Amino acid sequence: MSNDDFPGVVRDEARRLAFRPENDFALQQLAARILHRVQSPSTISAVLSHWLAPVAAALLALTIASGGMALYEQSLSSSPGDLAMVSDAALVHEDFYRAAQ
Amino acid sequence: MRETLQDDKQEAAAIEAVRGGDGEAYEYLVQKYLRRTVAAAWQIVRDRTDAEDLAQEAFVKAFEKIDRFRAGERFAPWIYRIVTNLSLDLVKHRRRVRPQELSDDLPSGRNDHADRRAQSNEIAMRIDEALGELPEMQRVVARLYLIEEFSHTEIAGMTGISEGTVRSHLSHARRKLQDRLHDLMGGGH
Repeated sequence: MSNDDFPGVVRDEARRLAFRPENDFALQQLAARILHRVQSPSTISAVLSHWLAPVAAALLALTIASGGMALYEQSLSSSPGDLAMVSDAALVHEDFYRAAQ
Repeated sequence: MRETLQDDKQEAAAIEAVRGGDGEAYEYLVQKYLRRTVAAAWQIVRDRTDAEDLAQEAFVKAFEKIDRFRAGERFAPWIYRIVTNLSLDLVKHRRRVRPQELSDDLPSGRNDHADRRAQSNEIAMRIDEALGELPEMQRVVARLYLIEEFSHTEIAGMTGISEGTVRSHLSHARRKLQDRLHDLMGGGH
C-alpha cells in the first residue's frame, strides 16, 4: 500500500468494522421493546400525573376561590361603618378625658 | 442514505400522526432508523448491550418530545443527535467512575473484541486499534465517518460541532492513522 492508496484502503478496510446486529431478530426485538414503551404509559410518574391532573386542577380552583373569599371578607371588615365606630369611640374617650380633668 | 420523495412523504406523515397521538405510527420511524442509531451509539460506546440500551432511550426520548419537533424537519438528524449525546454522556460517566480501567492500553472496544475478531481481518483490526488510540472527539468523528459512513453534515449535527471542525478532526485523525499504520504501507520509516 502506498501513501496515495492509504485513504482508500483505510476506508475499504474500515467498512469491515461497521456495526452488524447479531441477527435481524435482535433488532426486531429491540424495536418491539421501544414500541411497547412508547405505546403504554409505563412510568409511575406518567400514570400518577395522568390521574392526579384533575385533582390538582380542583385544588387550584378551591385555593383561588378561598383566596377570593378572604379578600372579600377583608374588604367588608374595613368598611366606612367600622371607621365611624372607631371615631365615635375616640370621641367618647376624649370626652371622658376632659371630664376627668 | 439516499431517500426518495415517497420516503420523505411517508416520514412526514408518520411524524404528524405521532404528534397527533398515534403511537403506532412511530413504528415506521423506529424501523427506518433503528439500525443506524444503534450503529452510531456502538461506534462511540463500543459495547453492544449499551448501544442497544442507548438507542432505546433515544427513541423513547424523541417520542416524548415529539411536540418540539418542527414540521418539515427530518427525523434522522434529530434521533442521531439524541443518541450521540446519550452515548457521549455514558463515555464521560465511565471515565469518572472507572478512570483506571479506561486508561489501560485500549481506551475503547474492550467488550467487543470477540465480535471484532470475527468481523475483521488483520488490517481492519490494526485500524480499529489505531482509531481507539485517538483523542475522544477525533475517534468519534473518525469512526462515524470512516466506518459507518455518516456525512460531514450528519456528524456536525450529531456532535454539535461545525462542519469545519469535523473536517479538522478527520484530517488530524488521518495523519495519526497514517503514522501508526506506516508499516502497512510497504516500507515504513
